[in-house]
Amino acid sequence: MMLLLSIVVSALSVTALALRDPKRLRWRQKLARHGASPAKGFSPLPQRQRRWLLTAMLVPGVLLALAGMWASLMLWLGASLIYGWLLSEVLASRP
Amino acid sequence: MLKLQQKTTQTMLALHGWGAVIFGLLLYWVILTGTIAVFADDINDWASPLPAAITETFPLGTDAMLRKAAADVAPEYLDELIVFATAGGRIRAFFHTHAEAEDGEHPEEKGVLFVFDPESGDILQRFEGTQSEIEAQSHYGKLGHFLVEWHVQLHVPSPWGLMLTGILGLSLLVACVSGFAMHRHLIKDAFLRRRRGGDVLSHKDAHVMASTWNLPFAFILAFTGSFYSLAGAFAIPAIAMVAFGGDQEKLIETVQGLPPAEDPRPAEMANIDTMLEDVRAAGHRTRFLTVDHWGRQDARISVFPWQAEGELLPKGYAFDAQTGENLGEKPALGQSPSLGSDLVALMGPLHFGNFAGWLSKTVWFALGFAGAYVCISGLTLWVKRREQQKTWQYLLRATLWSAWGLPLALVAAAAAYLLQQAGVLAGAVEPLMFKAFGLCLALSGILAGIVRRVTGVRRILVISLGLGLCALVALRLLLGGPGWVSAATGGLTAVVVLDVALLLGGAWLLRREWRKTLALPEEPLIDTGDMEVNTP
Repeated sequence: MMLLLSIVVSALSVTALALRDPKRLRWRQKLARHGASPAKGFSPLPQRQRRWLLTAMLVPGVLLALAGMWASLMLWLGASLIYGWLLSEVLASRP
Repeated sequence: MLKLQQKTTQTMLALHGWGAVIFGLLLYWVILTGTIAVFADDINDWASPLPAAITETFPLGTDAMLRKAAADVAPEYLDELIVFATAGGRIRAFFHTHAEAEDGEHPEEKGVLFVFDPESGDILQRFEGTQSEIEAQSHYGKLGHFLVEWHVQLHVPSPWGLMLTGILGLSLLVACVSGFAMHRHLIKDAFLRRRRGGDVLSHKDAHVMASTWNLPFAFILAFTGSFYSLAGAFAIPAIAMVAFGGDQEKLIETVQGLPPAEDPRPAEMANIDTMLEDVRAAGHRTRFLTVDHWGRQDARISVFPWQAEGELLPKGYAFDAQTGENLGEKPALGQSPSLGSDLVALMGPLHFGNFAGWLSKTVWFALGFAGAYVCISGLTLWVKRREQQKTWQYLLRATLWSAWGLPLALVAAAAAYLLQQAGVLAGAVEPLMFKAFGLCLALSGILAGIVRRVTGVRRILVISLGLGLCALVALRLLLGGPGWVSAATGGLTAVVVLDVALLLGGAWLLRREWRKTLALPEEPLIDTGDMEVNTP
């Protein structure tokens, strides 16, 4: 349960970071100038909020480590990293 | 990530790039086969299932099976016994001793291998001889073993194969460190994937993004993999040479402690079922067990279970062979628990990802897949940057051949296994798998060399792989393997899950190619300079 919760918290943070990533959105705008659809409804996150989200992404791992749940820590780390990569690929493949 | 001088960055880039050119393709072979080998046990269960899933890996009656086998072997083979589960949950017990090999230069295990049906306790197979003779005849578990051997030593004889994979592991470590150091905005670019037109920028982003997310695990897997390859092939002989005058046995005795004094007087063995029940009661599922000096006063029994839920480190239990008393945990190294022992024990779960069943194996598979993707995308990027130089196009063709030809050849090897098992192909299974693998690899290599357009090479190989994955499932069913309904009702999870995974994988590849055929060619965007390009 703790593992699932940790992965969900990190995945939500990664999703928010990805959707409102300034560099990605700047590229989308550039694509829009070439006829692609812009990423509507999303504006780049200010740096302060990005830092909060980054912290929220890492906190579950710190808690798992402090609780000595090493197996869960490794699973959380692996699952979060893979989720981040796949999400970035999926967002890049959207027309 | 690090602020380096331009010259240092260029050196790092050269180290990263040329390291990849020299080792990249072999590294991809090791990573891809390792990724698939995460599921080696499940692949064996898929290829050679029993009619129904077993309830316990080592059920009540294991003791009787082992006693029956022990009574049927020459006394010298009672020296050592290793028992573990193989394809479908069958029990494999190898009674053996260490004899000198024919070349007189190294010891070789010699004895009798029994394969039992875990439910009935019947002996399914019995082979006698040296380990290599037995392995040439035995059948169950060979598909997984074939994959594991590619990963561990690329089927090159020891110690050279281990040294080779050890060097490849070290080259991956170098790539991790140099890549980390030279990309100035590794974290900031974690979501940046400028996918348009297949230009250099697209390839660079594909490589950098996958590397960024995969970096921690690439480092862990490279380190633990190098440890496994080099510890046995290089480190132990080297330490023995430096500190023990070349005496490896003395080194092992120093680290592990002296073995108890020999006492060959006969003694009745305690019931192994009771020991297995003891381990089960502690919340563990037995993975394998070993017995030294079966039927003697100095007999020793050790049981090694899978990690219980939430555990990362594997455990081992020592038992008194005469009374059956649990003597407590057996450290991985030395005679008593220590940090060094825990660190050595940690290497296994971190490398194999098998500490939490299907869940951890799936995560490790995905991480391995990302690592393989990083290899191929890096090599493609290297060639893309040298598009005008014709010589590098050969590397691109070799990269495509490896990327798609290797999994295709593995599919061919799996097909050969199924055909041999069903009696369609005659002969020992391993040479047949090698023939199918080699033939498929050679054909795809010829194809990669002669097809005029590089995109054509990729297309043909991808379509072949997609069809091959689907055909493998059809072949298994046609050859009399359990159908999906009987597999599901019989609890044969591996059969159902792997069939679905193969079909989905094949369908995804075919759909991807179909969409690419329909899509109009994209025009590459010219970078107008408002996006940073981080690598020189």
